[in-house]
Amino acid sequence: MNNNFVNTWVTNAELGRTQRLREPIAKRRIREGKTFDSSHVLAKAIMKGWKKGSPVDCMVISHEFELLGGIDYNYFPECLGEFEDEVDAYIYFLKESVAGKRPGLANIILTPEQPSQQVLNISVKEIE
Amino acid sequence: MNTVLDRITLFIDGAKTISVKGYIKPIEHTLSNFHEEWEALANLRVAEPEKNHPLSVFHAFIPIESVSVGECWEIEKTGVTKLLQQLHPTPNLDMHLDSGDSQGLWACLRACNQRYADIQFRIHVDFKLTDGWFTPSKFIGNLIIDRLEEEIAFFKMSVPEGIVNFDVNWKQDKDAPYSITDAGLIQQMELRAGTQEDIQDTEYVLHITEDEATRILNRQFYKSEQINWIRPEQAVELAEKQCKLIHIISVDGPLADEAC
Repeated sequence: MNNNFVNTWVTNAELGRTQRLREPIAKRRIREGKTFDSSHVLAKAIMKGWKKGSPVDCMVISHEFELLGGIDYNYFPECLGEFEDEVDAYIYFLKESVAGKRPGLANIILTPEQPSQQVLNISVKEIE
Repeated sequence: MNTVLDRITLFIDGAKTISVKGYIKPIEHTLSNFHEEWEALANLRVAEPEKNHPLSVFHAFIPIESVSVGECWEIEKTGVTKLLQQLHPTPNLDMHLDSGDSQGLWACLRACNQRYADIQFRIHVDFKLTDGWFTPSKFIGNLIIDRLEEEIAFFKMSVPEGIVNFDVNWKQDKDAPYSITDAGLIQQMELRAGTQEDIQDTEYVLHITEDEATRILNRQFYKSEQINWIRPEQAVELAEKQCKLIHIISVDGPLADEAC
């Protein structure tokens, strides 16, 4: 992990996902001079990778902020396939992310050049 | 520093006593409003705001053998339970939910000189409330021993501030086979004795930083602490510099404690 990745974590509340803790978070930011919030470019990439209602999201993101893999830990490891060992499953998730196979993500890739794609009759758009 | 030659043995005179103050601030923030809906949580208050303890209670924190700076040892449960009962009558150091690495009481010699020894520690505990459990993220603190007087110069054990620093399980429906969960922020849950100002200018001959001691202690609990976690705002710059991908976990509570 240390050799291949820069490893970090953030609470969902810090990114405004849990509204009830906004007040203590705001006070803490002032007190400690914290600079990481939902306006940070990495935060935006994280928020793009959130699965609906998930308490824990694990992601791999490039330093150009492209989401390479993302899983909702509530559905781990079955969201990746059949695994007997959770450690093996997580290593698989990381390796597939590094290989650009986008584990846990839909096969829809939105870019500035192509900000929307038609999937059957559902339109998916990137929201700024 | 030579960690073999610099081993020290610590003593406390168990016949002496110390006044310990306890604090629990009423809970003001939870994710799902349990602090208003669940009476036991709404009324969580310190059991004994001030209590005289024999110093023998603190033998729990003292290593049996000599130790060097940076070395860890397990804290003994009985003495710690007596201290925690000052906060609330029903501490449970065995943890009602254990994901495999939840239990533990560890201490580390952070610093020492001829006069003082600074023991940093981390303890996991939960408390049985009426119809449920209250699980703080962790208790951390320092016990500073006056080696000449064989007494305690300063003691603080508290749940550190954070965005989310406790977790609760409430059996709202007594007949249901399940509990419902919430998490939140408690502003102060603390035991304290002595005066920090008296020892804050102490120069230690042998020492590690508080951050180093924290990392050493964290590794006693969680395998994941072998990973070098950094702040998210530092991750982008480091990833660019080292041409690495960013592995990130976005989580409801802190990654390496019991509040999640």
